[in-house]
Amino acid sequence: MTHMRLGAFISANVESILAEWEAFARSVWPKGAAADPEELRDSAAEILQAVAADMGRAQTGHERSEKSMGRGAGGADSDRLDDASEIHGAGRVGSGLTIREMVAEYRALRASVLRLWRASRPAPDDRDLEDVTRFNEAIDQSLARAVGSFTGRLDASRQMFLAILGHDIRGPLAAITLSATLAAGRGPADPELPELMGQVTASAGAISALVADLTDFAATTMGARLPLVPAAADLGAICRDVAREARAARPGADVRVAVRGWSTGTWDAHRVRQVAANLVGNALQHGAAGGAVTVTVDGTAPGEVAVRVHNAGDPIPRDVLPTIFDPLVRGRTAVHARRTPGSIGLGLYIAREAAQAHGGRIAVASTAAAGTTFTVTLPRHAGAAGRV
Amino acid sequence: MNHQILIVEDDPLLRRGMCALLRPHGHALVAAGTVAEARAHLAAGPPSHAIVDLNLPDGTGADVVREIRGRGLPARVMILTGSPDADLVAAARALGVDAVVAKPPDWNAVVRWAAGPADGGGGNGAPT
Repeated sequence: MTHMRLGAFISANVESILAEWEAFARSVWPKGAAADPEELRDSAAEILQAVAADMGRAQTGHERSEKSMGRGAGGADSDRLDDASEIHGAGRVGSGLTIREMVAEYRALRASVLRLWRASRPAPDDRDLEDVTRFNEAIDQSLARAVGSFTGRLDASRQMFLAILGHDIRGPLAAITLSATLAAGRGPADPELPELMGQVTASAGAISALVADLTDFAATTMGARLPLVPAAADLGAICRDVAREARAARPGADVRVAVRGWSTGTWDAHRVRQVAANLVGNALQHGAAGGAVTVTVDGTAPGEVAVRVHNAGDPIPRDVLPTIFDPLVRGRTAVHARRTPGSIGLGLYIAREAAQAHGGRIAVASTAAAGTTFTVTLPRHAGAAGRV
Repeated sequence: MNHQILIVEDDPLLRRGMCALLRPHGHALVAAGTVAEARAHLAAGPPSHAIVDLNLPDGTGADVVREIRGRGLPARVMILTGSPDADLVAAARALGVDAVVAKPPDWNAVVRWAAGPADGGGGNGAPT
């Protein structure tokens, strides 16, 4: 058997390496990751091909030392590896992976290549060490690039998030100071004083709601689940309340609630109300103008209760769907984009966290024909720890 | 001194409040919630002053300022924004905007600015 250098081995065995990588990746894959390794194959295949091409090219010692420190050494093959790695890193943000998961993916790729190569070799060769070194350097270069583009994309999202936060707090603050300035110019018996004070209270309430969302966001992104206070509750009654409030807040809004089966169970009433309100608000904001929002509470199953919130209208773009519940990712949360007034774009994220804290789940289906339906499924009786 | 003031703000609460703030000073006020409404007001008559929000449902405050300048109007313009940044201030200055003010502004300073001279001048009482 002729001796095959590692670069050529990778090119010739991309499919079997990817299969091995996928199996290994599954074993280290974090629970609850948004994307599945299988969906990530194409991008990993491109990295592998670029690594193999890069290894096939002569390099100086200086280039190699630069490479392992994450500075590409130039040349078309090296550029190809850099480009593929940057696309890979940015794509992983879009797939909803965390940086830890992306690094785990690289570990799996490196381990798979080396294991398969070793397994294929009939006899050792004195160029093996150099091949492995070159391979590790190429993987390190790719990882450094991917991490750079991953964090760059995330930083941009955070900047956007902060800009939105600032914008959404400045608005009600301006309303508060304006009402106060107007009130200061009125006498104590002025008939408009109560209305001005009411505006102060309403605007302060809008800021309080933002702060509450931020607090939930901060708590959950540090790995905790939302704390629950489960008690006997009626999802049908809660959804009817939410619909009534939505209609009051938006004159003309058509929000209907239908209840099937038993809608009672054990949940944190505040949190499930928040889930329903966020989904209804989202449906009113993004659904067809003037179209109905239908809330169906389905309690026909003994062990769980589902709440479906449906609206007609343009479907959610396919590239947005994988990360629609993730904060800090969505391109559509731009300051200028149409957003739910007084919402910083955390509504769906908090809905998911609240559903998961109950031991439940949330899903979305969206097509042009059927419209958009968010479905929250909760165990009928949630435990205090959020598990059943 | 009373002026003709165009207010462009999409938040109805702020829009009404700004009218309530400026009306007692004897100014003539027109209010718009969108770029399109602002254009319609500008077509109907030139304001001496304009207070313009930046984020509007159908465009930006810069569109309104360009419309004002495109019509050759010397109106003094203040931009009120919830999203202040340095690039924006530079772009606004290039369009001949008097002041770019972050929300919440000092509303009494807004009143003084609106009472200031209608053209040229050093921006008497203009908040910066």
